[in-house]
Parts: sequence; C-alpha cells; structure tokens
Amino acid sequence: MSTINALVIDDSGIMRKMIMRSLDETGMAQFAYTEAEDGQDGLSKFNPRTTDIIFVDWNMPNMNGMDMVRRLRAQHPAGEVVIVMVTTEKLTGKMEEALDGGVDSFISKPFTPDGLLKRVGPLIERITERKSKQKGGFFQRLVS
Amino acid sequence: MCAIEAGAQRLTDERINCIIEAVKSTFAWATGEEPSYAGQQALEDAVRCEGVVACISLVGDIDWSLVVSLPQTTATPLAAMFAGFEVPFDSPDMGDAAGELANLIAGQAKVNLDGIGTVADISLPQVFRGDLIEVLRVPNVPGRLLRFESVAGPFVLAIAEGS
Repeated sequence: MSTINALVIDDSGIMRKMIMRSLDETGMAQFAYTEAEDGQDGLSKFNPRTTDIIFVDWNMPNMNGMDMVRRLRAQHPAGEVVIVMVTTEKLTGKMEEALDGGVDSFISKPFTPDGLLKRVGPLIERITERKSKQKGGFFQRLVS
Repeated sequence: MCAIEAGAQRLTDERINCIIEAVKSTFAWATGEEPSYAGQQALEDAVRCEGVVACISLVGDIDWSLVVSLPQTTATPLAAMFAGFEVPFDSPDMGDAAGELANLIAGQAKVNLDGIGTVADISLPQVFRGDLIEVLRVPNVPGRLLRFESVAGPFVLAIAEGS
C-alpha cells in the first residue's frame, strides 16, 4: 500500500486530530500527515513534490481556507494536488464558491468516518492509482 | 422604536428555535445522544461559569453573540466524547474542543436560520477558561438564556443581542 501525504490545515488542533483519526479509521490508505494552523502556515508547508491531498478548514485566522486555495490554485492547477474543504459552511452558495475557487470536494462538519469515506474515497483511489502508475513508470524506465 | 424593542423583535421564537435545534443536533453528533432542552428565561444578569465559555457571533440580518457555558464537570466528559480521547481540563485541547463546539453550533444555526430567511455569517470563536468567568450583559440589550441537560452534564447557551 503506497503512502498518501496529507496536509491537514485547521486552526483547531483537536479538529486536525479528529480528521487524521477519521482518515486512519477508514482504512482506505496509509497516510503520512503534515499539520498547519492557518492558510499562511498551510502554504508554507505545502510541498508540490510530495503533498498528495490537502484538507483545509474555511474559517481560520490570518489567512482563511478559501484565500489559501485560490493562491495555491494560481500556481498548482487541479490535477496536481487534491483539495478537500472541511468546514461548518453548509449552504449551497458557499459550496459553489469553494468548488469555483478550486476545491475538489467538500465535507461539512460535523462529519462521521463513513461520511468522510464516501466523499474522499474516490479521490484517494485516484491518487493511489496515479502514484502506482508513477511507480510503475519509474521501474519500467529502470529496467529498460 | 427604541433599541430594546428592535432587539426583542429580532429575538423571535422561530429564530431562537433555530439555535435550540442547532445545539441538539451538534450535541447528538458529539455525544451520541440528543440533549434535552430545559427551558429559557430572559437574560437579566451576567452569565457566570466555573469552567469553559465559548463565544461566537452571528452577524447579518441579526447581530447575536452566542455564549456557550460549560461547567468543568460537563466540559471534561463532553470534550472526551467529542474528540474520542481524554482531554484534560487544563490542556490547550480543551479550548480547541469548546471553540469547535461553538463553531459547529453556529454553523448549523446559520443553516437553520437561512431556512427561515434570516441570513447571517459566523465569526471565529473566542474561548475562556477559569474558576469564575463572568460574561457581563450590556444593559438594556435583550437576550435569552437557554438551559440544556446532556449526557455529559448540564450547560447553558446565552443569546445576546449585539456582537
């Protein structure tokens, strides 16, 4: 099983722990986590070579999640890194704003591990597939 | 119309019910059991608490401060149920848990209020912890004090006009 590198951005330390624990409980992949406390911290800890998926809260001090996503997407278009917004915002207009801004999926807090799996499962499968192709390509190049 | 009358009109039963339902659903998720609503009264005095107080604002068609007061005896088991691990009362995680709880209540309240045509945005939460916290009430500004009984223990939520 390949490791998924997840960047978890939330100003609440307890919520970061809950997201990480819920992801581990789904059993869909092995995760390695990097934590960040706000959008600014998230941008500084984002590594375009290693970060596979970002879980980001919307309402945070210093730089909110949506501002961070817009800045990140300006340099790293969809397909390079998966972004999941995890937030208390539940209104359709807000979800549309997030998706238009470059978010791949949207999880409303409070969430359950089952709800998380439903939303994130297909994205994790996509990442795992991409990583195994990259790995296969590397070994093929090595053999030839 | 004087300020107190205008404020009282914004504190309608329908809107207050949006807050009650938000508290119920948030606690049901956090503890696995819906808390019982134990009634309300006019907010006539400061909110006093020996434990943790989380404040969050709803601003828009209404300007409300929601003040969630958790006695220490309620806050400790509640935070453990919410987080899924022990959260010591004196730890930074306790502030995070109370703040996130207020955030979740306000987030659901925002959705419930939107459903009755009341639009509001939520602020970031502020959390206080101590032996005796007094959240002072601004004179002549209406408010309500809502009482709840949860599986983790009793708690109150105050709605104060003006944020």
